[in-house]
Amino acid sequence: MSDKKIVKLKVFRFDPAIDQEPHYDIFEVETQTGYSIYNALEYIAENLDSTLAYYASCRIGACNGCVARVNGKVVRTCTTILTDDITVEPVNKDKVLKDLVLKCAPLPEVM
Amino acid sequence: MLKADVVIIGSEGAGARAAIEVARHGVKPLVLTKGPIGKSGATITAMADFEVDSRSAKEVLGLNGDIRDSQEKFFEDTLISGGYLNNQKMLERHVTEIPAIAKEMIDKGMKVEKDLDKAAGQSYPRSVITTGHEFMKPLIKMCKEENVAVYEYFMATDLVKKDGKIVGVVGLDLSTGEFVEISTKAVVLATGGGMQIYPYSTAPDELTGDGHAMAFRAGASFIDIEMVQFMGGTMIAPPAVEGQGFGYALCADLNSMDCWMLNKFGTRFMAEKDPVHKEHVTRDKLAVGMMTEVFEGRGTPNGGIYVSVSHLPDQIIDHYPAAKNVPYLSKDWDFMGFNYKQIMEEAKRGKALEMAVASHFFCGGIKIDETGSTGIPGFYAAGEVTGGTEGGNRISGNALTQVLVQGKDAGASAAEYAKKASFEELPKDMGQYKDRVLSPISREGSESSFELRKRLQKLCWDNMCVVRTEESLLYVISELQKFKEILPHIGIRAKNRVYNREWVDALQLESLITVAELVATGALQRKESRCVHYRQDFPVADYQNYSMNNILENDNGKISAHFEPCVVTSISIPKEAPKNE
Repeated sequence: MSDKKIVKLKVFRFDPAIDQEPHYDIFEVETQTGYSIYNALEYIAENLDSTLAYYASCRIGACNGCVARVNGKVVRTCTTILTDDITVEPVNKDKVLKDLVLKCAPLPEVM
Repeated sequence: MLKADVVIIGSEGAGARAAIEVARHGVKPLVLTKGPIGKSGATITAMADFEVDSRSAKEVLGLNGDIRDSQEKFFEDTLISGGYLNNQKMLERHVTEIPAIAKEMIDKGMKVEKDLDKAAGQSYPRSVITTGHEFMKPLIKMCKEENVAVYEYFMATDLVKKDGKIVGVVGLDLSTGEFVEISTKAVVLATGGGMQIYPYSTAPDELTGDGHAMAFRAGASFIDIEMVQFMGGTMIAPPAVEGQGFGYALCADLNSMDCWMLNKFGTRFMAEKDPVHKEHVTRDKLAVGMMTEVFEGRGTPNGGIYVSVSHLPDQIIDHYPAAKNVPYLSKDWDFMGFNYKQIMEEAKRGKALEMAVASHFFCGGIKIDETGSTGIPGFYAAGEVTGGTEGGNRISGNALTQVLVQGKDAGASAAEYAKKASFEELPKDMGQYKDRVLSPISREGSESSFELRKRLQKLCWDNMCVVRTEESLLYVISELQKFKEILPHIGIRAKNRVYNREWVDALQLESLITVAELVATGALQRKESRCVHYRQDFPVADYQNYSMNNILENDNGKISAHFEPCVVTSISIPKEAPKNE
C-alpha cells in the first residue's frame, strides 16, 4: 500500500436536540500506514467538524470503549487500520445518545 | 437535588473499591465517572500485575510464591525504590492489607497466572499476573452486589465547601449538557494521574488531572508531585500504535530478550551508562538514559530512540513471545489488540523499532494520611491521584496494589465520617461553580481548545519531561501564565450540548494547566535528582538536604511550597544516598 491515500468515511449522525431522523455525513481523511479509524475520527472532530460525538478512552486496544460498527461489523476503531472507504455507525442504533455514542444506564430512581 | 452519603469521583480500581467499601459500611455511595464504568480510566489499561509479598502469594493466594519472602522485605524494597520518600504508615497498609483484598478478588472470579513475575527492584517474585479486564471484573461484580449507583458520562468539576468542610460536588452531565449539583457528606476522589500534560502517554485521554485541579481549588495539599514516572519503551509511530507499551514488553523487563537501544550514531547508550544491567534497569533510570540522548541531540527525528533486535538469531526472536509467557503478548505477536508480526519481521531484517518515553504514572499527588484523609473534613482520596505510598518511584505492579488498598481504606474512612455527619444545604451562591462549567459553551471565543492543549503538551514535553533544569522549569511556569490569560478566550465551535467533546476538552484544559503548574513548581523546588525526578543542573541525590517531602499548598490561588519531614516508622532514612542513586 502506498504510504498516503485519501479515503471517505460515511459517518452516522444523530443529535437528539435538533434531528428528527439520523443521517450520514461524508468526510475525506488522509490515511497512511499504521493509521486507525480512531485516528481519523479524532482528526475529523479536531479539524473538520467538532460536533462529531464518539467515545474513546485508552486508544491502545485495551478498554473497548471505542467500538463502532464499521461496514456492518463491530470493531475497536483504535486497533482497526483505515485502508479504504468505510461506513461508521454506532454499535446499536436503537440506543444512540448522539452520533456514535450510546446512552448509558439510567441512575436508580432512589437517588 | 441528587443526594448521596458519599460521592466517589472515578469508577475504576480505586473508585470502585472505595464504593464497595462505602456500601459495606451501610451508607449510600454514588460513583461519578466521565466514561462508562469498565471502559474508562487507567486501571483497564494496566498490562497488568499487582504486587503481593511472595510468601503471602503462596500461603494466602495459593500461587507459586517463595516463602523466604516477607511483608517486611516487600516494605523495604518499595521504600528503597521510592528513594525513602514514602509515607511509611501508608506503606505498612500497602504491604499488610493487600493479601486479603487480593484473595477476595480471586474468589470473586479474577483469573491470575499461577507463576509470579519478578519486577525490577523486587527481591522476590511478587507480581501477580492478570489483565486490566480481569482486574475490573470482580470490582464491577461487587459494585452490583452492593447496589452501587454509578452516574456515567458525568464530569465532576468542583468540590463544594461550606464552613471548611465538603458539602457537595458539582459538574457537567455529558448526556444532557446540564450543570448538576449533588449534596453529599463526604467525597472520595479517585480520578487517577494527570499524564495528559504530555503529548506521549500510556494513559487514556481522560486522565487530565481534573481531580488534582478540584482538590487544589478546595485547598488540599500536594506531596512530591514532581515525581512523574515515564515508561521507556513506548511506541511513538505510526499513529495507531502511539502510546503502546510494546517496547517495554519487548526489551525493558528483567526477563526480556536482549534488545539494543541505540542512538542515531548506533551507540548502545545504556551499555555505556550501566555496563552490568544495560537496558534492564529500573524504569526511571531507563527513562533518563533514553531522554538524555534525545535532549542532547542524539535521538531520532521523531524525538525517540531506536531499538534493534537484528543482532539476535531468528529463533530467539520467533520463540520470544512463548518464552516470555505473559498473557498480554500472544505467540503470534498480538499485543493489546495490535498485531506486531509484520513489524517484528522487518525488525529481524534490520529495521529498528522507534520508541520514546511516555508519561505513565504520577507517583506524587494529593497529600493524604494512612486513612485516606486529606485533612479537610469530608474529603478523602485514593489511588494514583494521591502521593505518599510510592515515594519517588513506583515498582511495576505496585499501582494496582495501591488502588485496592487505598480504595478500601478511603472508602471505610469516608463511610465512618458520613455516618456521623449530616447533609448541609449548599451555599446560596453557586455562581462561581456554574460559570466554570457553562461559560465555555456560552461565549464566542477565538482560541481553539484542541490547539491550546497540543501547545501545552509540547511545552511540557520540551521543558519538563524526564530531563529538567531550573531554566526550563521557570520557562514552563511563565508560559503557563499566558495559557491562563488565554483560557477565557476559548470558543467552543460546537454549540450542541449533548455529549460535546470540544466542551469537555476546554474544561479539561483548565485542569491540565493546574497540573502542569503544580509539577513545574514542585520540580523547581527539588534541587536534586532522585528516583524519577532528574535535574540536569543537580544531577545527584542530596540526602543531606532533600530527604523530605515536597509540599505544595494553595495560598489564595497561588502555589506556596515548603518541605516537610517524611513519615517514618520502622526504617530510618540513610544519611548518605544509597550507591545506586
